[in-house]
Amino acid sequence: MKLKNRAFLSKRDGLWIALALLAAGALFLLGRTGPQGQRAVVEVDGQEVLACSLASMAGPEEYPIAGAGDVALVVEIGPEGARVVSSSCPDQTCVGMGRLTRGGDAALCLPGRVVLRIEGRTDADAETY
Amino acid sequence: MRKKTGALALGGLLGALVLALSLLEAALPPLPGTPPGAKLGLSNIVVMYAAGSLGLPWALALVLVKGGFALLARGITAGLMSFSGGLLSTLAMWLLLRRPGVSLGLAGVCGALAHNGGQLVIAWLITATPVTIYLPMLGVFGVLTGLLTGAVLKLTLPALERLGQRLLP
Repeated sequence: MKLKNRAFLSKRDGLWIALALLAAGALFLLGRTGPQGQRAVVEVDGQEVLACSLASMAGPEEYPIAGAGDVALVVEIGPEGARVVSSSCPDQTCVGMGRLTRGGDAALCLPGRVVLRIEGRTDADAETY
Repeated sequence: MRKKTGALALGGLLGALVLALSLLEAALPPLPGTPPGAKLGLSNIVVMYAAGSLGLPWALALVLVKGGFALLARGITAGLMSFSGGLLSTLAMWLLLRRPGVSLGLAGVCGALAHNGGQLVIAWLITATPVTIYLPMLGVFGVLTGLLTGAVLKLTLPALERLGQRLLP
């Protein structure tokens, strides 16, 4: 049978896996260099239900969001970013994402079809005032 | 034993294994530090055995069983995620295992990464949102769970092979 005498991990295959881990690490670092977040947007079922400019907030504020089905979320948006505080969904992936700060960051709640994402400007490498 | 009866019995056993492992890992509490919602992928052990020893149709049938159950029990989103992840993962493992030099650990890792990739694609299609933020954690976790899958298959292979040979001589 084709599986019988295979090793668990050969040296060569181990190198491939190490490469994959390096790639994941590189992607992680790349994610942390994205454009600073400007706007937080919440979408339910593809429809935008909430959009805030981060800089315009004096402090973090909580907003209840009604997702698809019976899923209810609480989203917190503040000058430093946005996060899903709580959700009644079974997965809790959205809550676990933590605070989103950079453009492109997103927390998805698939059962509730809710997206919390951050938009950032991409037309400038640096901003000075 | 007649071939059809043996095949039926084996299919039933493996299908039950897939579902039992799915239920088991859903019942396990998430470890702190792991991405929420991340699963160990225990049923992939059975799918990988099927893809390597029994052939692609068997493995795809198991994907059908698992995805069908997810669809019925948890709804269309869960069903789509399971099918998409399962299809890509099975194809990846089957393609890799056709080559005799590929180790079980690598096949497991590629299966896990393909599974995560398939699910990420569905999430992206459903929400039309950039999902790149999930890539690093799914990558690392995919490697770890893939290695676990390969390791457990290595350990349980004698038993699975005996089963297969007994029912499908």
